[in-house]
This record gives sequence, C-alpha cells and structure tokens, in this order.
Amino acid sequence: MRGQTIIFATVLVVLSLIAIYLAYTSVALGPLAPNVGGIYNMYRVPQEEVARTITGHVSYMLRSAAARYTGAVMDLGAFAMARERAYAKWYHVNVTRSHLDTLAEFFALNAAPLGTSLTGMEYYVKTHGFNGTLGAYPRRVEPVPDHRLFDLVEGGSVTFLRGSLAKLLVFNPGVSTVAEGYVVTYRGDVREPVVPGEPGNRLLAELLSRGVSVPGSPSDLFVAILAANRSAIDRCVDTGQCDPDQMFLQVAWWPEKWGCPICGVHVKVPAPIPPGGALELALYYEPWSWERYDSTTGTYLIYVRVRTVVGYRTLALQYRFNELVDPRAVFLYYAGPEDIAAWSRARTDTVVGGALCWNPPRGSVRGSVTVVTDPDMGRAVEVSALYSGGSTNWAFNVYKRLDDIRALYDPVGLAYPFDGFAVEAAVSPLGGPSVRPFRVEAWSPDSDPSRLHPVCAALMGIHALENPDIFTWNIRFLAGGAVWNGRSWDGGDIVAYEAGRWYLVRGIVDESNSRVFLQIYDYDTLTQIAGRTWEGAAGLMPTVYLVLGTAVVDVPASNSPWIDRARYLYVRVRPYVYPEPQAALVPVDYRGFPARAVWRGVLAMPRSLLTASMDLNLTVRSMRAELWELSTSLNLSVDILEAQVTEVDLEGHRVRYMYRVNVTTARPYLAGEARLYVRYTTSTGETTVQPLQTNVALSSLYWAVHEASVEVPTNAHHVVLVSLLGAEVAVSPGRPRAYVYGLGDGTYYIQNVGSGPLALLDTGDVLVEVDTRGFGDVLDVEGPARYVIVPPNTTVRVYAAAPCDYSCWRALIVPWQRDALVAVTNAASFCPGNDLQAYFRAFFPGKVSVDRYVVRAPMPIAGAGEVYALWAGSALAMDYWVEDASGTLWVKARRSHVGGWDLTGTSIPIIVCGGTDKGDPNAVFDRFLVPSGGLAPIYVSLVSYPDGVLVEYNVGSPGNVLYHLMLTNRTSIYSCSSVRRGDLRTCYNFYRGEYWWQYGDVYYDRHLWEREVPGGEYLFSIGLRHDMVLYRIFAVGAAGLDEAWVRGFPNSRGYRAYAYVIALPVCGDCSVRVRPFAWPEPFTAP
Amino acid sequence: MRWLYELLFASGLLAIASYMLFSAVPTTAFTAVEARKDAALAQTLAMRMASDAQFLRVLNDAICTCGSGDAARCDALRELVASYLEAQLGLAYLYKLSVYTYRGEVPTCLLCRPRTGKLLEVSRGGDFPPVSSSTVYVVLPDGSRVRLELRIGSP
Repeated sequence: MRGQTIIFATVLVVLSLIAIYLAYTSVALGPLAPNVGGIYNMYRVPQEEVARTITGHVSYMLRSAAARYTGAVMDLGAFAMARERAYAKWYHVNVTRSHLDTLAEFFALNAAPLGTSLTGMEYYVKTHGFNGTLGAYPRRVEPVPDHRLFDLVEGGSVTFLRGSLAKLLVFNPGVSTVAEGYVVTYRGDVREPVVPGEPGNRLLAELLSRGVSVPGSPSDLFVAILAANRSAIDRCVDTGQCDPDQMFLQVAWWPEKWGCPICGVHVKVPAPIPPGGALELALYYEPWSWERYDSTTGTYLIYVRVRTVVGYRTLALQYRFNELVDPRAVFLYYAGPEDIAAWSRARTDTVVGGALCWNPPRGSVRGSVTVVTDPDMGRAVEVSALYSGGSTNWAFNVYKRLDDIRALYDPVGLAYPFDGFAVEAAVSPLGGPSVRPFRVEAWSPDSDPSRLHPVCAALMGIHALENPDIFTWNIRFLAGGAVWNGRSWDGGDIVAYEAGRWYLVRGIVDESNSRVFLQIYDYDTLTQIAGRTWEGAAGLMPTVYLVLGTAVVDVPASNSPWIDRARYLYVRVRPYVYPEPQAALVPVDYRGFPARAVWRGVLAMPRSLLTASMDLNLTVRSMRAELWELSTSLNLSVDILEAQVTEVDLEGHRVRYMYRVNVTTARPYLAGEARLYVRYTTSTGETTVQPLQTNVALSSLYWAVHEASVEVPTNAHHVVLVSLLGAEVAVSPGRPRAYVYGLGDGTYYIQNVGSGPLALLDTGDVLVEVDTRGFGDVLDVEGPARYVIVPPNTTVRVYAAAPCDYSCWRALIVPWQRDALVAVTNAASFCPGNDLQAYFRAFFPGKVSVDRYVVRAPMPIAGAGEVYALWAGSALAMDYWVEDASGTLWVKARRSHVGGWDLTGTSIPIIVCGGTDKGDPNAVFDRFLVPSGGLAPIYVSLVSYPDGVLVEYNVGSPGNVLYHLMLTNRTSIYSCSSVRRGDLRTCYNFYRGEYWWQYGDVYYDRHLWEREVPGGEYLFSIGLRHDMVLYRIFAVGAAGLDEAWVRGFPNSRGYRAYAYVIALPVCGDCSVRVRPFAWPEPFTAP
Repeated sequence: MRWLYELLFASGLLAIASYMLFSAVPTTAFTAVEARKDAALAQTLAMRMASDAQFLRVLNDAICTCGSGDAARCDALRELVASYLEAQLGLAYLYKLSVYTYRGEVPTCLLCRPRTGKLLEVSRGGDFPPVSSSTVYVVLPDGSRVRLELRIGSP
C-alpha cells in the first residue's frame, strides 16, 4: 500500500512539474510573442507581415508578366500585326501564361511556410497600337515529301516512347539539288529566336541545359539524328509489316565542341534536297540510359510505337551510336591530333622550286610535332619550328597527300556531285617573337611539300603573320593568283589575330564556279571574322596536299633564335556546294525555316497603350480559415505629344529632337516613374539603345509629362521606349512618305523620304524580285507573304509581275501606313522626249561628313543628255562627266539631292537621260588637272577631308603602265625599288614586271607580290583614311571600270597632309583627280 | 521490503520524467522565441528578395558575370548583393546566401560554360551556430529559374 502511495505521489509530482513548466513558458513568452492577427503559420509571422509579403509578391508577378508580355509583343512585331493577328494573340497569351504558371508554381512553394496557398489566378492583358521588330519569321520552304516529319508525329501514327523530338531542318537555298552525303553544319545560338515572339531559342536552351552524351563517357543525354522514310512507315501503318531499320534512316553526326555540343553540329545529309526544299531530320533526345546502351556493339535502343491497321506495335530501333557519332563517318577526311602527329614532315628552303625561289637560305630550322593537352581544348597537336637567329628562306612543312577526293565520297564510281571541297582546321597561334606562327594550306599535287618552300609552291592558304599580328591569305600560282601575304580581306579590311585564341580557318575550292574562298571564324562564337573571294579555278581536284607548318622568307624575327608555333585540333575535308545549305533547330510542329530579318528597327506609332491586370484569390489556411482576394493592375498609356527638331549638328552627323511624352497610368504617382530610352537603327540595320535624361512634370496623380532631348545620327530611324515596372512600349512620331517611280520593264523604285520606315506586305506574289542591298530588308515568309521594309531616306528596287498603279501600290503597303504613298510617277517623264537611257541607285553606307560625294555608274555609258537625282517626286539635276576611255559616268551627289540632309545612310535613285553630252570633270571632282612634268603641286588639306581623301590617276588608255603615283612632300622622284619614309606610292617595277606598293613605315613589305592585272589597267587610286591606306588598280572590263587589285595597310602614321602628287607617265588624257573618301565606301547598283 | 523496491522504481520514474521534460524543451523560453524569430526573418527576407525586381536584376547580373569568369566585375556585383543583405539584416546577423540551379536548369547566359550546381555564394562570417535557413524559388529577369537558400544566424 505504501508503495502505491509513493508511485501515486511521484506521478502527481511529475504532473505538477509539467504544469509549472508550461505556466512558466506561457508567462515568459506572453509579452514577447506577437499577439496580433492570426499567428497560425509555422513561424508565427504576424498577419500584417504575411499580407505585406504576399502583396509584394503578387505585384512582382504582375510586373514580371507584363514585362514578358510586352517583350513578346515587341519581338513578334510586324508579322503578327499584319499577317496573323489570331496567331499573335494566341502567342502573346501563351507566352504570358507559361511565364505566369512558373511564377505561380514558385509562389506556392515560397508562400507555403507562411501558411498561404494559391487557389486561383486570373489575368487579363491587352495592347493597343503597334510595337514591333522583325523577329524570327518562318521562311517559306518546301519540305522534302519522302521524309516529312510533321504530319507523321502530329497525326499520331508514330510515337517515340520515353524521349522527345525536335526538328533539325536543312534548307537548300541554291538552284540545284544538294546530293546526299553533303555535310551541313548547324550553328546554334540560344540568343537567336527561331519561333516568332520567343526571346531566344528556347528549344536549344532546354537541350543545352541538360547536356549531351560524349562517346565513351555518356553523361546526361542521349541524342540521335534520324530521317523518316515515309514509304516504309506507311507500309508499316497500312499492313502491319514493320522494319524499324527501313522506317528510320540513321544519320551520322559530330559536334564541333563537346563542351557545347548542340552549339555546332555537323550532320551528314541522308537524302537529296531539291532547290528551295527543306529536309526534315528528327533530333531525338532522352536522358541517357545504360540499360539500353550495348557497349559491345555500340548501339542504343530507341522505342517507337506505331498505330497500324492491326493495332499498336512497339518497335525497337538500334541506333548505331558509336559508328555514327564519329567525325570519320561524317567528313570526307578527318585527322585528329594523333593523326596529324603521324603526318610526313620536311624542312625546306627556297633553293629548289619555282620562279621566285632565287635565294639561298641563311641560318637553320628544326621542327617538331607533339601531341599536347591544351587547357581549353584538351587533346591538341602542337607544330613548332625553332629558327636560328637571322634565319631566312626556311620552312617547316607537316603534310598529308589525299590522292583522290572523289574516292573519299564514292570509292568505286568516283562520282562527286558537289561543286568542290572545303579544308578546315581549328588552330591557335601561340605568342612570342616569331614570323609566321601557323600556315594552313592546300597544295597542288604538282608541288611537293617534301622539297618546296611554300613561297615556291602552288598553293592556297591562310597564315598568321606576326608584328603586327594579322591574318594573311595566300594564293600562289593557282587560280591566276600570285599573292603572298595578302593583307586586304574582302572589303579592304585588315584582320588582326590574338595569340592563344582559337580560330577555325577554311579554304574552299569551288571548282564548278571557278572560285576560291578563304575564310576565318572565331572559334568561340563560330562567326566569320574575315573572308577573301578569289575568282579563278584552283585545279586542286581531285588530288591535294594538306599542309601545316611555319615559314620565314626574307625578314627574320630577330638575330637571336625564335620559335614559330601553333596548336591544331584537327584538319578535315568536307564537300562544298554553292550556296551552302543552312540548318536550324525548331520545335517539331514548326512550319517553314526560321529566318531573322536583317533590319532590326522597331515600327511604332505615335500612341501606345498597355493594360495588364491580374486578380488573385489567395487563401490563408489557418485555424481562422481566412480568405483574401488580392487584385492588382497596371495600365500604361503613352503618346508623343509634340516633337521638335532643335539642332542639326552636321559635324557629328547628329540631330537633336525635343520630345514631350505623355504617360498615364491607373495607379497614382506611378506615371512619373517611367524611364525613357531611345532606340535607333541606321538604314543598314545597326541598332543602339540609350537611356534618356528627362524632366518630369506631374500633371495629376495619374498623368506625367516627360520632356526629353534625344540625339540620334542623321538618317537613323528612332523610337522612344518607355519602360515602367519592367513593361516596355514604343512610340515614335516618325511617319513614312513614299514615292514610287516606274522605270519600264516592270522595274520600280520605291523611295521613302519620310521620317519613319515604310512596310510593304505582298501576299499575292505581286513583287517578283526585291533588291535592297542591305538598305532595308525583304523576307519571304510562310503564308505565303513577302515583307519589304524601306527605311527612311532610302530606295528599294522591285520587279513587279504585272504593271502596278497607284491603287495597286497602296494595297501593297501595310494597312496602317497606306496614307504614306504620295505619288506613282513614270521616271521617263522627267527626260525630254521620255528618253530614259539608264538608271541606278547610289548608296552611302558610311559616314560622309562633307556635302558631296563622287560615285560612278555601274554600267558603261557613251554620253548623256541630263543626269537627275529623284527626290520626293521631282528630278534634281546633277553634275556629271563621261570618261571616254573607260566609258565611265562619274556623278556628283550633293546634300541637296537628299532633301538637304546628310548623305550618310541614304540611297538615292539616279536617272540618265539619252544624249551625247560628256559633262564637265571640273564640276565633278574637287581637283582635276593634267600634271605638267609629272609633278602636281596639290596641297591636300586634310581639314577639308574629315573622313578621308582619294587621289586617282588614269594612264591615258587601258593597258598603259603607270610609272609612279605618289603622295609626297618631296619634289624628286626615286626608283621603284628604293624607299622613302612617309610617302604613299604605287609604282611599276620593270625589273620584276610587277606593281609595288609603298607605305612609309612598313617599308620592308614593299616587295609584296600581287597578281598581275590581266591587261587593261587604267585607273590607279590611293585612298587615305585615319586608320587605313588603300591602294587599288582598276582595269577596264566589259561592264566599265573593274576593281582588279586592292591592297590595304593599317595607317600607323596618322592622318597627314601632302603637298604634292607625283604622277607619271604624262599624257594628254592623263589626269589627277582628288575627291572625298568615305568608309564603308559608297557604291552604286541598278 | 517491497516498499523499498517501489520507492526505487518511483524515484527512477521521477528521474526519467524530469530528464525527458527538461531535455525535450528548449532550455529557456527566450531561446525558443529567438530561434523562431530568426527563422521567420530568414523566410520573410527570402520572400522579399524573391519579389524585389531591382535586387533580382543585380543577382542575375552577378550570376552571369561570376559564371563567365570576369573576376573584377564579379566582386563588385557580389558586393552589391552583400550590401543588400546587410541593409536588410543589420549587423546583428551573419548570413550565407547560396544560389543553386533549379532542377539542373542552367541559366541562359551560362549555357556554354562548365556545369555547376551552385551558381553563386555570398556570405558574412564562416560557420555560425545556431542557423535558421529558408529556401525560395525565383524567376530571374532573363527568364532563368533558380533556387535561393538563405542561412542566417547570430554570432
């Protein structure tokens, strides 16, 4: 009994202890614990705090959604407004919804600890007005019917189990069929949208974010490329006889970089692609599964379910992964680091060989080839050569002979259905004192790399040349070329390299079209940085030597030893067709081929409106079961009240506008918070966005007027972007004003002299041909429809299938711009007796600071009656001169011909009336004179030529030799082979039978061998700019003056004045001309 | 003799009960309140970060810059992120903000970079007990989805 009492007492004691403790805790906590509102979430956060946080979140969701929505509107642009309104709306809503879905999902996750959950969400968005860029529109293409994917997957007859499908489109833009076995490269860029309205390539981003398997060490994702074979699939569906190997062709592919596999994929095309056609390939991907990979056979199982007449059948397709994902299965020839290390090697000098090898070498060279591990690229091969101090005329060749390129494609029949081939190498020149860190070349089979120095060999190739570090192109005794160290790439550009950086160099032999291309790509971005086109057959088919290495000719790097070295990843050979097919990765149900417009301007109206509102029902799950309904909205209305040009700053080519921008919002005080930006686009499509400083006046709680001063280049189209809470709308007071000139034969010029871009939309195939020359844009899209954009102060040429009158042109303009069309005129009516002899357009892409520029007509002309510039429906007379010896029409364009504005960024139509008059050269050129005794005392004051100056000299009749053309401050003439610092000179070296250039500080380069002008050299020109000196020779061809020879040097001496021009020989018809020089150089085209 | 066993049993029971009672609950009520306050602070601060557009822009920029290896600009942006946190928390707290990928999705700006799960880490102080942590999921301005983990604690 006593025991029970004790236990009972103990239990009592325990219970009272608990009670005391609980009482203490609640007393102690009482004053500290928040005591207001519901505190029934796990953290006991007070209701007010929860409410504040939740409201902040909802507001953020709205802003974020509004930003996404306006982004989609801006991207979808003209395509949506003019063509597919329903699609656009659906698209906008879809983009916004998927974004909001993510936000809502995250909101639910984030808010759960606070005891809240989202039970409902409604939203409503709309825009008024039009903001738009020309986004990624689906280009019109014809899918190859035998391999169509879309209806196959869409119709549901074939389902890929487990994995997902994307469509890899290969489009043939050429006029002949691309044969199977061609290797196309897909260069993916996540920033480049393929689906209208998307901010980037979402499909690619998704693929990349999951990683792709590497052979041997498969990681996250398995990728297979397949082509559907419709007849075998149809047979399977119709009869139930299914052979997966016949239904799907397996395609070989290889990534350019394993670190970013889908960024560059080389695919061996499995079927012929007709002109204008697109081959649809299936890119199948799924998480890598070891169970389905058989390492002994190297195959991977893909499961496909087919709905046949006899029911569903599941087929297992064995993808030959190890066999197909292999560069040797894709390219005609592929040599990796180990292969290159096994190539033949030779050290050679200039004693043996061709006409130019007259020099015995000095010093010595020792070469080596080793496989190394590059920190960025992994396995690579390093080719290096150690030259002793003062060495000259040595080379180190590492080479491989390919006996028959056709046999690499078709070993038996030697059929080769391509235009030529391309040699590609990934190379990184290494730094340090050197001469020529790398050479990547293709040699003629007649030149033996085991014996010849490259300067003596028949070859084409790309070199890196040190000090200054630039790329050179080289074509020797091939395709009519004899160029060593060609520095001027297409467009006259000089291209520098960076030691240690990787480059992809390409040499393309286009045997069918007798052309050679040399190209350099930046390896990181796979974008082209330099190219040189050379007309003339190379004669490298079918046998070729691939040669790598280094070389020195007559200028050693130093008098102490030096090493030329570079690393290579591979050398490969692939088929080439012109033009090259293009590839794109798109969602499987996407029609057309994605194409991005070049012109990136925004088309906007003076008024824009955005309304976005969202109602959210939120429940706080708690003991009190409270229910909140939150709703929030954003209303933004923007218009440009007035615009005023305050200043035209001609020196800087800029115009200042004053704008008053009206912003109204539905929430108080918000209108004043808007931020303003200006976005301007030049006629050639370069785009800049800059924030604006504004003065804000609040007119009411909901209304603010922003005053901003906007400075933009002349003739650049601009819009004002108004950004509020992340949402963005565009407004612009710019309006197009269009004139159409008929030129006969169905050709028309469409001229826009307004302040905003003009948009045409042709849905009825009225416009057969459109020529913008980069000033504006044209795009054929799925639909079918054709968009034409004519930027302000430019002219686009079109060819119409049938005569088109005022109402016909009006109908072609997009609905909201129809009033822009002022007149349609027959151009011949400007000429007396309707005698229109010729017409062309002059384009001014570069900065022209002066008020005049001399251009030459693109066709030869015997004489003229009058020459007119057409502007705003009227004809303005121009000064001209017909140069008889070459049949060249020189025309002087003035600022008054473009409405008194700057010539920069404009293109103007010019018509030539019939007649025999020759015009006056003194009215055309700034200086035009026949030098007496060869010395023309012309002081070329550089103050009057802020952009650059051109000095030209003609040699009487075509084919005459020029002795000297020189800009100098001396009055004496010295021989062509001697050099004086500071002078600019072209002269003829009679001893060598070559033209030589001299540019003061790079005098050691004076004896650079170029191609002979093939007879008929006529006009010699030296162009001087702040950053470049450009030497050219024009020959007289069938189409008038032909730029036969061009060579540029970087102008390291600065922009200097010259007192004299020395020009020889002297003749009665010879003349020195001085005129302005702008870059990029103005040009003409029909 | 039996009562002696029962007495022993009772004292044992009492001992177990007191042990359980005093070890299961926090030592003082004050500590309990503090811990809860820290957790609530971590959670509400994380929520605030997730809905602050300006902060997210800076964070987005920091993730992209630091991921692409621009060390100088990365440091400056990390400073900005840190100063935001310090302004919100005051000096009484140590913190560690870590940004992770969401289900392995790499932000668009870092797609062609080597993959890592952790995108950014900004902290003051090293290991600091006791720790309150909270996790939020956010959509960055460039559309990338990431997971933020915030740990705070008093020194």
